[in-house]
Amino acid sequence: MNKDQLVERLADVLGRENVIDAPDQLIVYECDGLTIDRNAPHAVVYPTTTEDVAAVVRILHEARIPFVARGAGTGLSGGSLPPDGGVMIALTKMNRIVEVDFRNQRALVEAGVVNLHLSKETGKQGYHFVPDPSSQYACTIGGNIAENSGGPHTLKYGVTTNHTLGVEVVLPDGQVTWFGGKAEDAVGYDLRGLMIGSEGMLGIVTRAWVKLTRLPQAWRTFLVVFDQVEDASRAVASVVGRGIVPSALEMIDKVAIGAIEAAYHFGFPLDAEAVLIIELEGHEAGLDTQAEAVAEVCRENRASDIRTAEDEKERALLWMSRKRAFGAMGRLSPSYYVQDGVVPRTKIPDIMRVIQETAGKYDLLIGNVFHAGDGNIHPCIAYDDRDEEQARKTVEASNEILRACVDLGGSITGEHGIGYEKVDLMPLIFNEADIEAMETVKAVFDEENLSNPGKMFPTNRTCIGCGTAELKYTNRQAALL
Amino acid sequence: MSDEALHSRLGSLVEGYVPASREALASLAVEGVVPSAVVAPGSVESLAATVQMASELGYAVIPRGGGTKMDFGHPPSHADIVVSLERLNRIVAHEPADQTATVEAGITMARLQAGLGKRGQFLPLDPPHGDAGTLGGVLATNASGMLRTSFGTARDLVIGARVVQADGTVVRSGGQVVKNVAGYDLNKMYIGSLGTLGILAEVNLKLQPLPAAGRLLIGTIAEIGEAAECAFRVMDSEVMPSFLEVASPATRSLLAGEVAGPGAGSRSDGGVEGHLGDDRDFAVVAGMIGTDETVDWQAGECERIFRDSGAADVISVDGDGYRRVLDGMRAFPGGGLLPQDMGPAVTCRAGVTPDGVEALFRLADEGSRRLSIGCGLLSHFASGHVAFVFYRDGTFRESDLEGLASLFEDLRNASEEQGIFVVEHAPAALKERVGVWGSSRGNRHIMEMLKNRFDPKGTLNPGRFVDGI
Repeated sequence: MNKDQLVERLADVLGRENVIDAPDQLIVYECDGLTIDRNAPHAVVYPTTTEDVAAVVRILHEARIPFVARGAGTGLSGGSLPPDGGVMIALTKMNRIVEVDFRNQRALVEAGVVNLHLSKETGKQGYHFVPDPSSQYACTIGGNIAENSGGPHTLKYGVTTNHTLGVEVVLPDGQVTWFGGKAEDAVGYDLRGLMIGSEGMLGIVTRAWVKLTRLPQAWRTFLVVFDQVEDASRAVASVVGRGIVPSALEMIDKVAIGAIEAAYHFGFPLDAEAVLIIELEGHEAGLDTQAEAVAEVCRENRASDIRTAEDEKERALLWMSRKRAFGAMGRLSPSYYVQDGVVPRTKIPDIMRVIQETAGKYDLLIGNVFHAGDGNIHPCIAYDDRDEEQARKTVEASNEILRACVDLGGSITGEHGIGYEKVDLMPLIFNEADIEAMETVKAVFDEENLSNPGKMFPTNRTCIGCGTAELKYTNRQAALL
Repeated sequence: MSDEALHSRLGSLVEGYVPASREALASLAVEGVVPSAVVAPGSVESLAATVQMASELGYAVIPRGGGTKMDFGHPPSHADIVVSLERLNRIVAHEPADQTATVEAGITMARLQAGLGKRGQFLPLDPPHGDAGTLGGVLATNASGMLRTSFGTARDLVIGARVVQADGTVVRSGGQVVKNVAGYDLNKMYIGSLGTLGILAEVNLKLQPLPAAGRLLIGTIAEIGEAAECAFRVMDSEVMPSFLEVASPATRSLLAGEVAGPGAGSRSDGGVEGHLGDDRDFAVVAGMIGTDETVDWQAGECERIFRDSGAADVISVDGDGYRRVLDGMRAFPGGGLLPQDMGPAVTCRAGVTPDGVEALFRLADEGSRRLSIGCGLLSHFASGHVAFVFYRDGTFRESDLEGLASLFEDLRNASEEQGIFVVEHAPAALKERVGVWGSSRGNRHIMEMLKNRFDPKGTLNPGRFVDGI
């Protein structure tokens, strides 16, 4: 089947208005939030029902054409980078909240529902959908499920997999099934758990039953100012070590504070080396006692100022500033590159030192805005994508930081996924047998390797175990220049 | 290979191996299938070597923890070597400030919690058989308890694992950090797989700080519909209990005994005075943990909801009584809240939506009364989980089993509209009649393929799992 025939067949199923293939229209779909890697799909289709998706996948399966599902394209690891000669299945038109069952505290949503829309829809009744990635005003729940997304408030409440009861899946051969469902504890192997975070490689999630959580009765949000990054880092582990579980514990360093302040004028102290945003949630009774305990820990770690968000409006502004921080970093340079390593939270002082040293070594500006409570770092490297030397150094510095995360007992990704970006870093944390186990799962679901191929698994297998794993730079030069 | 040759191979692979007596092996029979050997490797490497040998020579391996759930599932198609994890029982690492620990799977839940508790933390997982049951057994069966309401199940608490695969290869999934999305989430697949895809040898866990205070509030309500409504009101309130249970009259009555304590209401042993319902009353139980202030506020609010919902008696239990009653409830249906002098009990569990719980209570209540069989029910209500126990004085007769089989069909039909109904401890004759696991809902093919790829020779627990996997 040639490209025109393919487009015709897809249009027969979906209607011509739901298939695009003009090169100028496809540019938007060349990449997701990881703009460093680009590849245009053959075509993009917009199914509106599960049956549509299944029909499209059956056509592609029959013709052995690879495909990738896409939500809002906010992913940061190239998870929805189109495979060569592939078709992109955009789920943004499947954006209905099908059923909200407040009594049982769960909702049935289509994959293209925007994360924040569900919380807005249920907020009036005192409920929300807990996972709150920074891109939640745009990203879709289907994308959250594919990447097992987190967010600031997952420190206390868990990530997407902890809030997803069941998923409706179009398997790579076009069959439709449910893994899990409206009730918990489905019989047999936990295919639901396998599917969540599988980066679209085991099939396409079209609908999901997700948990709704009661909004907390009360909250306290603090902005804690430090003169030393080291002190702020130590305060993080001390808070948790004291038996306090905040709902969020975020760190922002001086570089990022400057960028955020310039963009949103929240009133962050420009002379601070680091600030922590600490949020406590729960019952009004006892919250001030906990707040005092947090303040005490911060003072012990030489906090220079502790400010409290006065009202819901100030709190919302603080979180808006935090969640749009990466966008603000765009003011510092033509491009930026964000990493997503994880360390045990007691190792935050160590990894912050590594980041500082790496910035110095490569003469790069690195801002840090991250989920400190989870040990999930987000060094954001500012660079000029027109400067080849700087782009190369950016990737190298990134590598070095992720290696350090692994050496400290951590991981190379906390919430963004391996995607295309980090395939060759997988050997840093998994050996050949570990990866083979994952490939076995892939083969069970997708023998022909059609569903989002080229992701997660290392390309250069001879490299496994030799310790030279690194982000590919050479393949990327064309895209960067 | 002869048994002698097998013993000699095991002797070379596992330090301190001594062939078990015929009687000992007979006592390890799984649903009537008697193994040829039992071995307890002292390290993950020795465990892996044992499994590798079994796989190469075509022996079937039956992993075993504390032996509290060995009758779960179908009878194995083969059972040659019972591999006990009892010697893999160490807490390898515990870092309180990271709220994580690395633990060998053969540790009993009791020892694990005691070990973690020394440094102010615990694993928020409280399944039945919490004394002798091992972490590995809990994970293999995905057993859970009351705390799942607020902390989820094992799948929410295991962040990494070392698994011995069917050919003896040791693989790692997940990691040591609380947030990690590198690679497929294979931890989830192994948990609840009844050891059919690999043997969990060591796991990394996400922990919680021990709460400063805990309290139970128990309310009695005459009608199941009203009890369920009361529980729904608590769910929809700002209380956010750490657990929320609904108990049937028989279970409520035994709970009342626990509350009164061995000294029947004497304060000195944690007994609590007060009337706790009449014959046909149900109980709603809410648990609060946290600081004294939040526990106080929640208990007050909860009591108001209980009263508004028509609760006749409301009793608050804290301190020593709280721990004792909690232990009793946690042990249900594996031994807690059961009448004395009963024969071996039959237990089942269902997973439905919370609004499906009431119908299951009615079915079980009517059915057991019709059959004149004792029946206790406890639901982790917000999770839609219902634990059933059926018992009588002495062992079940043929007519009882026939009646239970038909009752279980009804319960399964009602459960499977949304969820599941699984038979756990039951005589083989009953399991044969009604099946064990229920429907895999169109996913049988994928599950069989996973089994075939991960264990092509059928080495691990063959035949015991869903669809005879």
